[in-house]
Amino acid sequence: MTNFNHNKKPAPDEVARDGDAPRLSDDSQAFIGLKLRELYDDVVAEPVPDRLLQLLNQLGDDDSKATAKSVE
Amino acid sequence: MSSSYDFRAELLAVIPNLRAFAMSLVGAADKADDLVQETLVRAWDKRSSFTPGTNLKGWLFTILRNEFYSQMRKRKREVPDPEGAMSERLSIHPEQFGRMDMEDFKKAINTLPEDQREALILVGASGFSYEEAAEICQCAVGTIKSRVSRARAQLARTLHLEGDGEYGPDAVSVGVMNLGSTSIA
Repeated sequence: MTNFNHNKKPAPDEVARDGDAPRLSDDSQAFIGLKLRELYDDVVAEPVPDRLLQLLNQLGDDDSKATAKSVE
Repeated sequence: MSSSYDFRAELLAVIPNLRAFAMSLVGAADKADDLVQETLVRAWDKRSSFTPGTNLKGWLFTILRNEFYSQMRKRKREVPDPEGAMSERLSIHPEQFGRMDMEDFKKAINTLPEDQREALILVGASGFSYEEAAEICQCAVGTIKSRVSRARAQLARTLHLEGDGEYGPDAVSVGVMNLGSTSIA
């Protein structure tokens, strides 16, 4: 589960080889990608909620699993 | 113990991305944060199984996704809310999007089958490679490629992007397409 490939991006020919859907124009693909990231990045840009920060602090302050469990 | 604190800091750095992914899965913000919270607790409990220097973001996404589907199996009656997915709390400034209403795009995204939407978001928004997305979803790379491809095709149809669509990339291309973004979703 931890063996992710770092920095590996799909080669252009891999993208173009998708055979089971019509090939979209570059403009359409770029348009969809742009919208998608706008939508997603809007959430990413939100501040981390306090309750998650508090949880992290509790996890970091105590190495025993009991504390982590009790939070939930 | 310094390693604990480092891990905590690394967790913190990934939380914004986890929240965005969780929102795309469950829709409602409070449920998304519940999911992130459970993910953090599980990640902390099994932190010894994470290899430092490897892809923590992918590792955490995998935990979050597994947790989500595990919860879904437990409470089958509580289905995800497609209408609300990623839409409830996203406030978009209209001027950013030319003539096309972002609401239309959100609706189109939310009509995608769950597996396609998930693949599209992992690859197109979360920044994972096809290979990484396949690991997260525990399926073949070709399956991810196929889902992303079908998702894009359906979005293009729904939004009338190809052909004589009323929105089309032309509606915004002049303003926003030349920002140097070369990646595709």
